[in-house]
Amino acid sequence: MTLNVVVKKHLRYFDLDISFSCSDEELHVVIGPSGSGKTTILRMIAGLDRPDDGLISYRGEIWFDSRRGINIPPQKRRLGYVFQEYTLFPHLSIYENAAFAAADRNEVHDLLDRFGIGHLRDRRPHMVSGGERQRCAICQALARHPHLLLLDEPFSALDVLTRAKLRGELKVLKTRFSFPVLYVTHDISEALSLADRILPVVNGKVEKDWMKSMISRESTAGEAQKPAQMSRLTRHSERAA
Amino acid sequence: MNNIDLLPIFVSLKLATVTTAALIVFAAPLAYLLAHSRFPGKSFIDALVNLPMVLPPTVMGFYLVIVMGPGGLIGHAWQRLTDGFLLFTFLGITIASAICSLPYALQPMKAAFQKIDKRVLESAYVLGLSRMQTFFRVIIPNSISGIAAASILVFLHSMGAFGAILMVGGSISGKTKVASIAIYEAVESMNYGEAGLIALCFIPISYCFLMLVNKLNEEPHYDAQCRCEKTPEIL
Repeated sequence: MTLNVVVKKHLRYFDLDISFSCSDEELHVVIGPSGSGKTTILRMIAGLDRPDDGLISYRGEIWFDSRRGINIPPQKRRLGYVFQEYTLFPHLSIYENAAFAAADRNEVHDLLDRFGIGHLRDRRPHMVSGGERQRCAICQALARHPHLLLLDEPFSALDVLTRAKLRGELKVLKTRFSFPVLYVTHDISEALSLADRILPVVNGKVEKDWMKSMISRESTAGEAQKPAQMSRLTRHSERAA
Repeated sequence: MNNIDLLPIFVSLKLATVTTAALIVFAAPLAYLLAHSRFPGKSFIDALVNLPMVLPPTVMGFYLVIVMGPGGLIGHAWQRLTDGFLLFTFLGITIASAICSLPYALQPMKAAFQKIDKRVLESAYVLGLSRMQTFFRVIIPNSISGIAAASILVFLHSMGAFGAILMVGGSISGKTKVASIAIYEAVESMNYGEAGLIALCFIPISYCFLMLVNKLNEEPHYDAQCRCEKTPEIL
């Protein structure tokens, strides 16, 4: 496995205790109700939060090891991290934002064009829409040639239509990624539409039953649910289990 | 009236310029530490650096004379280093002016730095920037109006400095005799004409700075960071 995570952290209302692995070219969805510790998992992988105990390794390289006192800073983990809300740099144009940490600045124009925001390259973040900002944030993360892409509810602040559009684009795009992607959401349909594997997290623990109960709730709530979707629900749930 | 000495105005302008330049450079990292770091004793340091704002200038002046005098910590070290004195020199009044103006530099810069969303800084760290690089590439460019406000406040405060400067620098013409001391001395010697003219010089300077502050407030700035919290519109 490319990324191995075994972490424990005492949070305010519960103890987070999670272990999982990710492979290259795989989109791993971390799903669970709000406040279940999903973002904390991503932050620990990014090096922004420190686990109390555990081990995080990437291709054999130790990023965090509580026993040996190793904690590689976020700067050296070479990650792409797209946050829930816009964290573009307000003083820079869309192009400068995307090229901020680019491995090759020549690629940035192509990347912006591919994401349909090439014509906005000279605008500041506050002059473009929320969807365009998130597109730019993804460009910024990808331009770095990351080892790993972390997406923390990247589309949740957007309107339904833009969210569906960007989700569709990501689904196409992920087939081109040669690195693991971790995607945090609390939206079951988003998880099912994007995930190769699903990690259901409730109160800091992996809860396969939560996923199953959500699946059955979805199926009873919407009797019009198509059988094909149901079978996918079950399949994802089994893979997650 | 014909032989009015304008030298104190130039000494004041020089003092204000040097103090502003030096203080912005030294106070910016301190403001950053106070805005975005957590360390033991932070609230004590925060209160300590803001003391000059609430202490009477003569009290500040008294302690500065003690510390910067030949027997004081800084004065003694300076004397050993350069064989010179700090009291009654331009450098001495610059240090005194900088210490007295420190809160006026810190407060606007700290407020501007705090306005930057912490996630923007974390984003910079994840993108590979060290804390120092983040300071120069993200924090400073997004705090221009706060830094400008700090510069104006420090400049105007140093221009009008009196009590502490008089105690530390005395009144040596061309060196430590600043405009406010010159006005005081002119009034003491019943020379109201000279006092009035020097006082008059302050008005265009202060007026120009006020215009500048208004202009800064008018222009849109990007230091409003990215937090997208909007006040709901009432229909």
